[in-house]
Formats: sequence, C-alpha cells, structure tokens
Amino acid sequence: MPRKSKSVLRALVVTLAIVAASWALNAVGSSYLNPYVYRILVLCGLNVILALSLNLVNGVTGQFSIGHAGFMAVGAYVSAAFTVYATPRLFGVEAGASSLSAAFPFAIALVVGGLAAGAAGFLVGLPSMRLRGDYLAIVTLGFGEIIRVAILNIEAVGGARGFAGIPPRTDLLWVAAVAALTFVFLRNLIRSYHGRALLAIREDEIAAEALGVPTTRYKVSAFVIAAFCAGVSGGLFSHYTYLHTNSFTFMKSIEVIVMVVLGGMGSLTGSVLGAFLLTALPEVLRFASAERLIIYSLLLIVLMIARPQGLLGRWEFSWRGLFGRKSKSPSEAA
Amino acid sequence: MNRRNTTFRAAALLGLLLAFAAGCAKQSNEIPVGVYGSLTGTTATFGISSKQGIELFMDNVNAAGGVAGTKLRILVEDDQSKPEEAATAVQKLIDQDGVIAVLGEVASSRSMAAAPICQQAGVPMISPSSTNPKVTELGDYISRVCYIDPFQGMVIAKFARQTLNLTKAAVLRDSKNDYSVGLANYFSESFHAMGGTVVSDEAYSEGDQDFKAQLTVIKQKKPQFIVVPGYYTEVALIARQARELGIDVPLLGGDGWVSDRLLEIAQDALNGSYFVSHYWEKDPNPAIQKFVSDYRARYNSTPDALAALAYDAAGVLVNALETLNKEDPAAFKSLAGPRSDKQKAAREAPRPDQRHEGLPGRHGQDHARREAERREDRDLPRDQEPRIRVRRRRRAVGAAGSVQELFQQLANGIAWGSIYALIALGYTMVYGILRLINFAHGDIYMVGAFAAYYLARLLHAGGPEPSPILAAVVLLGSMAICAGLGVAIEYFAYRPVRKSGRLTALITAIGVSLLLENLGIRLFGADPKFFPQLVAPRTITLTEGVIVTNHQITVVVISILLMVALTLFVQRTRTGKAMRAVAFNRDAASLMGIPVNRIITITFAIGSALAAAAGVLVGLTNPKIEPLMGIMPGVKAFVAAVLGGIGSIPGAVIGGLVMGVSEYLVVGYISSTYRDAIAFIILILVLLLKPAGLLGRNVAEKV
Repeated sequence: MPRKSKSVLRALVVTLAIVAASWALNAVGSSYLNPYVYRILVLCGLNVILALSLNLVNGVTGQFSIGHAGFMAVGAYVSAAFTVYATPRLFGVEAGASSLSAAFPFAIALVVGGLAAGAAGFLVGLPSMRLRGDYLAIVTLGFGEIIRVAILNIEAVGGARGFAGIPPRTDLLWVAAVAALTFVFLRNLIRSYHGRALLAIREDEIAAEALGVPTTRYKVSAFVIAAFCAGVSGGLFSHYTYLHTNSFTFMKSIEVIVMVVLGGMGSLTGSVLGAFLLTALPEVLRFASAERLIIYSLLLIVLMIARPQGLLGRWEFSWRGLFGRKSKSPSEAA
Repeated sequence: MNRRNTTFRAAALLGLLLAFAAGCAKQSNEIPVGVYGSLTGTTATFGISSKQGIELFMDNVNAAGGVAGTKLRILVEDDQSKPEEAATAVQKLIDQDGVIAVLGEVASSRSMAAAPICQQAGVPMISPSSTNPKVTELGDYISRVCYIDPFQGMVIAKFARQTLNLTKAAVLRDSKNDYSVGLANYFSESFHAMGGTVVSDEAYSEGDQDFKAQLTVIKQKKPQFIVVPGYYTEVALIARQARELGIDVPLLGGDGWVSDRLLEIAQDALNGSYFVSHYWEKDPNPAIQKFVSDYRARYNSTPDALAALAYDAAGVLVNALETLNKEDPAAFKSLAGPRSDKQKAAREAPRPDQRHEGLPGRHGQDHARREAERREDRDLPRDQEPRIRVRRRRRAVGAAGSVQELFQQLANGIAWGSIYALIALGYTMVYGILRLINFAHGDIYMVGAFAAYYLARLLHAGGPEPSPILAAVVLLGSMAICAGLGVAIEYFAYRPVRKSGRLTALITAIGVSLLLENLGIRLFGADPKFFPQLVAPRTITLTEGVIVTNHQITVVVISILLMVALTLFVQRTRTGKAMRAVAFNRDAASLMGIPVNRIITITFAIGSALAAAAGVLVGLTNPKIEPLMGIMPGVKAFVAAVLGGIGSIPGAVIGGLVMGVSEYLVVGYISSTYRDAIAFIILILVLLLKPAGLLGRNVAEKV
C-alpha cells in the first residue's frame, strides 16, 4: 500500500476508535453516572480542548495569547446562529429533532463555528508579525473584549440578554470525541516537521529564522489552529448551556492560561491534567462556600511557588514513561 | 526532576480531591431546599442579599417548628455570577444534595441557564427576581415571584407620559446587563406607543465609575427626564454626576434601584426622581415592617428589593409545602425521608403529578401579593431639603453648543485619564524592573480606596465640614498601607517565582489578584460603600456650559504632583538611578553593587502607593467603592501603560490621558455602546504603527 493511503487509513481507524470509545463513555456515563458528575465531565472536556489549543500558541510556539475566550465566543455564537438560522433551511432539521438526525448538521455547525474563529485567529495572528511578548498579549486581550462588545450589540443573537432557543445537542460523546481528536491532532502536529518549526520559534526566534523557518507564517498558523479548536469548543459549549457573553470574559481566558501553565507549558498531557484539575477544583471546594475562591486563589499561588514549571513541566505523561524505559518527550527532544 | 515522582504527586492530588468530593455528601432528616446565587463575582452583592432574604424566612419557619413539624435545610451554592456555573450549581444541588426545590437566581441569564436542568429533573425552581419574560417559558416547573420587564417598562412609560406629562425621554442603559437592556427596550416601546419620543439612548457597563461622557451627550439633547433602568450600584453615581454636570431633570428607574445604599451614595442628587418597585422599606404595612426589622436585627443592613423578593420566594415555597401537607400528607412525608440514592430514585418516580404539580404558580401570586404588595410609582422620600441649586438651562446655539460639548468632554476626559495615568504608573514601574504584568495592581487600587474609607471613618474625616488636613492624612495613610501591602505581596508571592519564567509569575499575580478580590468581598462585604466626602463638593463653571467639580481639579492637580515627584525621584536621586539600572540590566546592576532586592521592594512600595492614591481620588470624585472596582480600571490602566510604551514614566501618563480622552470622545461622537471596544481598537492601531507604544523604545534584538 502506498504510504499516503496507509496514513489516511490509520487516521480513519484512529478517528473511528475515538468515536467508538466516546460513544461507550457517553453510554456508560449517561446511564450510570450522577448527572452532576456527568456535567462536570462535559465541562472538563470543553476545557481540555481550550487548554490543549492554547498550549499550541503559548506553550509550543512561545507566543503569549490572553484572549482565548474571544475565539471561543466567536465559535459559540457563529455555530449557534448556524444551528438556529441555517440548519432548518439547509437540512430541514428543526430544533426538536432527535440527536441522531441532528448529528450531521451539528457537526457542520461546529466546523462553521471553528472556521469563523479560525478566521478571527488569522486576524489576531497577523499583528504577531510586528508585536512580541506583552504587546501581542494586550492585542489578544483587546480582541477578546472587542468581540464581546460586538456580540452585545447584535440583536439577532440576543445581545445582552443572551441567545435563547439553541437546541441542546452536546453530550459527552461529542465532547470526548472532539477532545480526543484535538489531542491526537496536536500531538501529531508537534511531532511533525511543522511542530519542530513551532518549537524552534519558541526556543529562539532569530535562530529559527536564520535556519529558514518562515516564522511569521508558522506563528499565524498556530494562532489559526488554536482559534479553530477554541471555536469548536465554543460551539459545543453553546449547544450545551445557556449562551451569554458573560461566559467569555477576560477571566475565562485567564482560567485557560492557568490550566496550561499549571499543567506544564508545552506538555499536552499536562494541559489535559490542568483542565481536569482546575474544572474539578472549584467543585471540590464547594464545601467551603463563601471561602471557596479564597482557597482557590491561595492554592494557585502556592502551586506556582512549589511547582513553577507546572505539574508536568515539559514532560508528557505516557504509559511507556511510567512502566517502561525513559523516553524523551518531543518538546524536550527539540 | 524525577518524572515518576511528578506523576505520582499529581495522582495523589487527584485522589485527595476525589476523596474530598465523596466526603461532602451528608445525611439528614430534613427537607433540603437548594439556593443558588452569585455570592462572588460581579453581582455578588445581589446574590448575597437574596441569600440573606431566603435564610431569614427559612430560619423563621424553622424556629416556629418547620412545616408540619419537619424542618427545612437550606443548601446554598455560589455561581460566581456566571451562567454556566449557575447550571452546574443547580445540577449539584439536585443530584448531589437531593433538594426538593431550588430558589434563584437574580439575573435572568443565569436563571435561564439553570432552568432547563430543573425542568428536566422535575424539581421546581422559583426565581425571586429574574424579570425576563422568557425565564418562565422554559417549562412548567419554573416560576417567579417578581413582575416582568414589559410590565415594569410600561409602568415607567405610563407614569412619565400620563402622570408627569413628559414627552422627551433619554435612556441610559447598562448594555452588558440583560435586565437593564430588557427594561430599556420595553420602556422605549411603550413610551413610543404613548406618543413620547426617546431623544437619546446611551449605554454604560456594569461596574463603570464614570458616566459623564454619556451624560454630556444626553444633556445636549435636552430630555425632560432620563430613564436609568439599572442597579443602584451605578444609578447613585449616575445621579450625582448628572447633577454635577448641571442636569436637573428627574431620573426614572425600576426595581434595581431599591437599596438604602442608593440614597446614601446619591444623597440629594435623586431628589425629585422616581422609581418603580415591588417593595419599599418604609412601607407602613406591618408585614413589611416586621421583615425590615428582622432583617436589620440579623444582618445590620436594610433589605433591598432583591432580599425582599427572595424572602417572598422562600415564602411561596413554604406555602406550597404546607398546602401539599394538607392535600397529600403521604407525599409530603416522603420529601423528608432519608436520602440514600435508591430512595431518592423512588421518590422521583411519580414525577409531576403528585409531588409538585402547579405548586409555585398556584400559590405564588397570592402569597406575593399578601407579603409584599406591589408598589408602583413610588416617590422617593423628600425628608431632606434639596441642596443642589437649580441651574437655569443655558441655551446652546448651533456650533457654540457643540464646542461647549467638546470642551466638556475633554475636561472630564482629562480628569478621568489622570486616574488611569496614576494606576498605569505603578504598572509601568513594576514592569520596567521585573518584566512582570502585576495583575494585582488594580486590586491594590481597590484596597487603597477601602483603606481610606476605614481611615476616614476612624478619624471622622468625612463630616459635614471636612478638613483638608485630615483628608491629606487619609490619603497618605492609605498610600502607606498599600505600600506595605505591595511590599508584602512582592516578598511572599513574587520573589519565590522571580526566576521561574514570566508566565509562572503572571499566574501568581493572577492568584494574588483573585485573592485580594475575594478577601475584599469577605472582609468589606460585596455591597458598594459610600466613600466619605473628604473635600466638600463644589461645581465650578470654567466657561459657558463647561462645568467641572473641585474634586476633578483636585484629582488632576494631585496626579500631576505625584507624577512630577516620581519623575524627579527616578531621574535625580541615587535610588532612582539604581532603579533605572536594575530596569536596564538586573544582573549587571547586581554586579555593580546595587542591592537589587531592596530596589525591587522600593519599586513595589512606590507603585502600590500610587495605586492607593488613585483609589482615594476615585473615591473622592465617584464616592462608591466596592471590592471588584479594580478589575476594569486595572485592565485599562495596563492598556494605557502599553499604549504609552510600557516601562516609560511619561509614556504611562500620556497613555492614561489618551485612554481617558479617547473614551470620552468615543462616547461623545461615535457610540457609547462601543466605549470599551474602541479604546482597544485605538490601542491595536497604535501598536501596529508603533509596536513598542507611543514612547517606548524599540530594543534591537540580540543574537
């Protein structure tokens, strides 16, 4: 078999395996799990997608984005608008349709949301040609705020009152499948030729440029890919819970950064761990009621002092690493 | 670092968390009732008063023996003022705690996030104060105690049009708040239908401190009244600033106004204004007076409308439980049964028919009416003599009017920009030396305002005849306290992470910021406080139609003095020279014998003191302070610092002024709804043209 079709086949098998595993997880989850735990798992999954994709920009490429919630908002609102306004006309699927017949239009809505967010990512990534470090950060922050203000002024998506009437389509199957696909995609990307280029930019942009890496193109691409993933996560979010711009404030972006840094910059498994921990932590701390966020912020400070490189640092968690010989993670090898 | 060790630690932590979660489930023989609300976050003050209203009612019921001998247990969950958190909190209450009913939320968007979950689980939800009509359309288990926006908007319009006989309205809405936007829309609709016109429709955002830009625009349109369908947290400041600008028309509003803080902060600025409300704390009705005195005795504050509505929501639920006990004692008994999962499932089996059918709807209205009779068109008490002089409205003719407007906007923009500049100075100093975005800086500004608040109360500095010496003592005292706080934060939080990467330091700074905010809510209370008048307010007419207050002039003068002092310090003193050296190259400075740690400490002390000064000055001009007041000014001051070229002192000042003035001009000449966005758009454009900010130097990259 030629190499190309072999890899396509492999991708297909991996995708099918992920979907099947997610289906099983969802089936088990919805029948045996407490709906509260189920909900937290879904929120964890959404945050995993966000943290993984932000890690591509902040951890792997070494850029500094603090406006990830803006991309999520674009994806959330565009895909929700697609479902509400375009799906009934294009596919004849009404809001009350069963989840199976709505699956295909929903997937399209997610992709549309992701593409819109990716386009926004392209726009935000462009200034990275000229701006560095904190200046780039402030541009991404500004973008997040601009998006929020713009959405507030669009009546068709509810403005400040929130977007009502989006059919709930998201369940653990969708979230787990998308999260797993994002993980596999980013893992392969980082291990590829292109991933090495991104890592080179993080380590030394000038040296990378000197060695012929088109740094601008790679930085913008990283932004676009990350924004696409955040947009898909937003699309899943908007079809899960009530859609309102208050969910996409600057603090949401900060939360995702905390997940990435706490898990370990550049470590994908670290981002997964960070997303799970920081989604579960406020829930676990509910017993402390009013002191909950005080404890949360103290824990954050203490963890940063105790483990400044994040929980996993740049290491990747792997079975082979746990039980077998030592293997170097891709980011470390670079 | 050994990897296995790390993985093990992570796994251990996860296990610990799970163990905690499992330990949280409790058993009891009471009827569990869930309450969810914003105990933290931007609208914490509303969530907390709602919670207190519910607790008061439920504790009274329990003290009287409960419902048919069974006590009620209140389980309160926080949703951090976020819709998705509200849904999670309610899911937890239903599935983890097995509550039989849910009370909440204030904000319609959060009620709408939680309602589908209650509907699906067949657990009734009673919202005390979500006025969006769509909330109860989400299902038959969802009900509310309050009236809805179309009704309230119509009442305001009718009162203005028919009782006051006015035809020209201006609307000033909170464009980020669903309640305010809904009410503003319904008011405008009704007012148009009654033959009135809305001559001006401006917007602000919740948490804003400064509304003079919008008010200047409104003033030029000469409305006969201004509708402010927002919450008292902002309305009081809007009223003050309107009077300072010489706007003497009445303000009209809705139930969001009800709080004793409204008059405390607004003082006489609201004389002659009107609002619609469910309830009024001075109502002679004995039920209300009992409620108010009980509430005062327990929480040492006067209940606002949200507390009253929440009290009613609890009443509706108890009423329903009593009815259920009468009609179907067996079903009632099962509510209080032991709550193992199996029994819970059994209890849930006969879903809508037996347990909760029509429960809140049937009894809700009667109860609400009996408990707190609906109040419309309630005039404010006029027990104070109006002190504000009624100014004759000057006729602005053609171009002269717009020139006046421009100058008015510029004057206010400079005053507001000085505040940004002061905060930005602290950002830029710390950044220049540590390359750290000190996210906690905006919160130090908040602490500065609160330190001054408590100092002023301690020294009785805010009396009717304020003394300038005491005012100076308060200002310096607050600066000293914050300098100490800044040094402590640097020593305990930032120094340990100084060598470990900038993002780590950034997250630590975010942690410190969250800590200060939440400690602030805990220690100072989430409700806004009235900042004492350290300097007696006066308005000064600069030229025809351009009015500023002596406070604004004080702000600009003190800001300039502090900036000059800082520049002299950095440029002319030995310590200043050392600071510049550390900023230029820390390692080289250290080799030259400069005590780097001490210099960093001094930098933090100065930066924090400047933030405190800004906090005090904001308290002076806009006398409303609250624990989350530092977030937006903090972000915007950081933007100002970047705009001017981060690390540069004159850059921070210019950046702050540019931000302040451009915000005013945007509101005056483009659109107030885009105020925040356009500030950022300007920033992005400037950065694209000059990537290091206006005064920043482009440092050549070293290879």
